[in-house]
Amino acid sequence: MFPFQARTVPGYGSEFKRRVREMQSGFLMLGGFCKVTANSGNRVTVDPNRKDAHGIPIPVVHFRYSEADREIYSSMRSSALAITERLKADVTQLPSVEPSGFASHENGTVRMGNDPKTSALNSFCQSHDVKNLFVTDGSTFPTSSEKNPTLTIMALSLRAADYIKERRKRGEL
Amino acid sequence: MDRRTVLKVLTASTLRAANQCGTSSDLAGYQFAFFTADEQALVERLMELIIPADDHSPGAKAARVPAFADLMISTSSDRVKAAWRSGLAAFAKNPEAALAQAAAEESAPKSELAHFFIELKRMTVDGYYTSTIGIHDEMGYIGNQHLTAAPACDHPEHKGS
Repeated sequence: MFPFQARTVPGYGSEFKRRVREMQSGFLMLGGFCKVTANSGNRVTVDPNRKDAHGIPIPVVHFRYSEADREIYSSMRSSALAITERLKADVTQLPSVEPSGFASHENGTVRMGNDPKTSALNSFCQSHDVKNLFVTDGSTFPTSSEKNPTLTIMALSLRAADYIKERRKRGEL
Repeated sequence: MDRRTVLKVLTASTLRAANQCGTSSDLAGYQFAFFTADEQALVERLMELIIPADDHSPGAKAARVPAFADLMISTSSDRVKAAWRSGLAAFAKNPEAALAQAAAEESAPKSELAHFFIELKRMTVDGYYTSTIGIHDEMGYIGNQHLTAAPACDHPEHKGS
């Protein structure tokens, strides 16, 4: 396996080379995954003034970690450090103090729900306002864990497809 | 550079190397496309200082890491090319002293010298440990093997604990 510790072991020269070699048999990388809590302040809007090269208004992404998100992250960080301490590990890279994402699953923004006041789609991915508009991707999620969303997106899409078929037969779409 | 681009570039260069000298491994016969002769000599020296030959295995120069770097940079953006050109210039006068000075700042780089050292070291590490010399001779990687029994750990540093 590629010795990933070589990217974090400090220094250079023969001592660096020896340390990378000796760490190879016991190199351990800890990674934490958690959800970002659903927050109405985190949303995508359309810029009223600026347009892209095709004349389409550009999206504006609003995103901030909440206090709860920071607490979850801080707890994961402390747990990871406690594990390395117990292991008496030689730590070559500390986790950052601020939360960050490198394997993120962005979901939400066109959330589904029963109340048109707090959601854009019904539970069949159908727009509350425009009956022949369906959204079948991760943007439909009202909230999301940190887990991979593709299978859930596929399941919701199949469910929406069945719904469209039935409604179409009845002449409602 | 995304994975697709890297694969394209590596495939193209492998074919180029194969056409040049009948081998497709380890950039043998690679024609430098970015570094000048002076820069190439400097890169060889710096990379060999970062991962030197020792009694265990050959170093970065023998592993053709400078050729790997040239391939990566020559197919990168103008911004990356400019950063390497100016970064190397800062190391040209006294490479050993500059390296020691930059490495001292490694954990919290502030100077341009230290930022470039991090790029240079990363390139050296990535090129060396993906070469035949780095992964096999130095790290002792033997690939996946069928084992009929679970062997005990044979590292001397793990004995007797």
